Amino acid sequence: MNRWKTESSLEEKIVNLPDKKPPVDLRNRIMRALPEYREPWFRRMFRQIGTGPVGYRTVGVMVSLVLAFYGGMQLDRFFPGSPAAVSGSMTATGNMNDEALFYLGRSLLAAGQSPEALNAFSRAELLRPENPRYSLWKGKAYRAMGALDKERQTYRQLVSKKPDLLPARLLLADNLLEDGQVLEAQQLYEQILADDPREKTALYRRAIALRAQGNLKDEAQAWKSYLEYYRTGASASEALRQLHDLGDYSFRKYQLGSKAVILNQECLLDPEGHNQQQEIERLVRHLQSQSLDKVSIVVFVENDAQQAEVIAKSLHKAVTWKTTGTGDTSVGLSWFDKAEPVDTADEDRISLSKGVLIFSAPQDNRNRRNKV
Amino acid sequence: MKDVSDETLVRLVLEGETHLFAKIIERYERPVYNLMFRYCRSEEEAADLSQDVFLRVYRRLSSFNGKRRFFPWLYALAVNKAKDWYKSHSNSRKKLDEFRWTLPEAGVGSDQEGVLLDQEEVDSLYEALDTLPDTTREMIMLRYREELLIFELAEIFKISESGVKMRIARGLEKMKIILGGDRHESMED
Repeated sequence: MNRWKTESSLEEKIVNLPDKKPPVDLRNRIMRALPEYREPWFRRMFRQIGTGPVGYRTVGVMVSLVLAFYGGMQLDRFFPGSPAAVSGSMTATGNMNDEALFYLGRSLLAAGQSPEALNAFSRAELLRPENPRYSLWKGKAYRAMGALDKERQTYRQLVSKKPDLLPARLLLADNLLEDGQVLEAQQLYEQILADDPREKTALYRRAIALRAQGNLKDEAQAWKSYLEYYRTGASASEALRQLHDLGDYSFRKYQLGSKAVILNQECLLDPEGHNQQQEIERLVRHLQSQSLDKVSIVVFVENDAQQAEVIAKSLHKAVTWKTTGTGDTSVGLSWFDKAEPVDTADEDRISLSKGVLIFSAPQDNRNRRNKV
Repeated sequence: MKDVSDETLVRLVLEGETHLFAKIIERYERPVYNLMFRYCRSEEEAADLSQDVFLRVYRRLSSFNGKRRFFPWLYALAVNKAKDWYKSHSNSRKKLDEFRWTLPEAGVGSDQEGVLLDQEEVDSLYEALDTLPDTTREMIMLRYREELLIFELAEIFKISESGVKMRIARGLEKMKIILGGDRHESMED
């Protein structure tokens, strides 16, 4: 086995490790399965006029001339009068008002026709510049086209006009984050949170911005701030995962019956702290939402059996007091003067000098019908 | 067309030259297929998953930021797909070293001979790789086989750069212990 140190390095061997050849027909299979690309007719026409053979171009120019001539005649018919009146009508795109253009743009964007949607939003914005909704959606159309710079420029202009407009500030921060301008993005999220400390998106993405800067300490704090307010849903689970990834187990997920609940373990382990009650109430609400025979609470405090006992009994007392008369759930209790072993997502095992485990088994419901 | 950058190919596909998407597939079908295979351990399943990944890439091409490199973006979508698959199919997975891996034929030059692996070495390496968490294994494969940079891995796996470095170092260390050798040389960015 010594060859691993005497021969080329492990990294070199990994580089030269043989792999699997994809099936020969994979490429064709994928190409056949591609959804049909629907290029808008006018774009196809302009492309063919611009790049096609001379014959195409000549036809294109002639068609344009005929259309221009015919269009001019029609405009004269419907909008007789001064040239200024004619140009005003053209700006409104066939009498469509800003609202109609806005909804047209939304439908075009939903249909994947981003350049056309952008055109509609721009016209709506032109007709009613004071409505920020049109600029916001113009930014979204730029985003759909992959034009991050223009998207950012749109939001910046909007924020300079309306500094308190939350969606514009959030979208600008998101754009900066995606573009790699993470410090500025983080600062914007901080400003938003200074105005509204519970703003969900800003709380979550501030943590991502901090992670991108490699600021692990503040990142952990940011995930904790998110979890202080939001404990359910995929984002909360992801925030918890990231926090654990940083080696911080102040929040933990407890599987109780068929549902899981995220609790602040630090608060649970602090009988003197006023936040313990808040966490216990959260736990009790969770227990009351389902039928459980027994809940077990296990407290670990390394080398301090007395403290473990105090914490365990205070938790037991608080939980039983709150659940009395609400069901048949009994609360079991144990404590240890040892560190709690915890398996990480990386399948490593770590030890927490202080920890609390809460678990249960679902209640046996004899009346439940067995379904196949 | 061989020298055309990925980003240009993406732009051309978005402009309607959809047949050029085949070029993109040609460039990346192998790493994507192998990623899928390492997760699902079935050739048919890996082909189906790779197809899903490329179709997803095609549908989301317009959201690709042309200032970034294309491969890490594509790979991030592929990793997400693999993880999603694994969440619902993690029960009956064969071991990597149980598969037959196609060994490259020996070349003429001595340099090439130096890095050729025999079947036993391949099995040992895959066995060692299999002991790592999926994410760590993929980071190592991407770092050394596809030569992705640390910050690109951080973006793909959505963890910090120091987290990536730590996992790769720990993963290699574990492999080395399993393979019975000494410490590997220090990792460079």
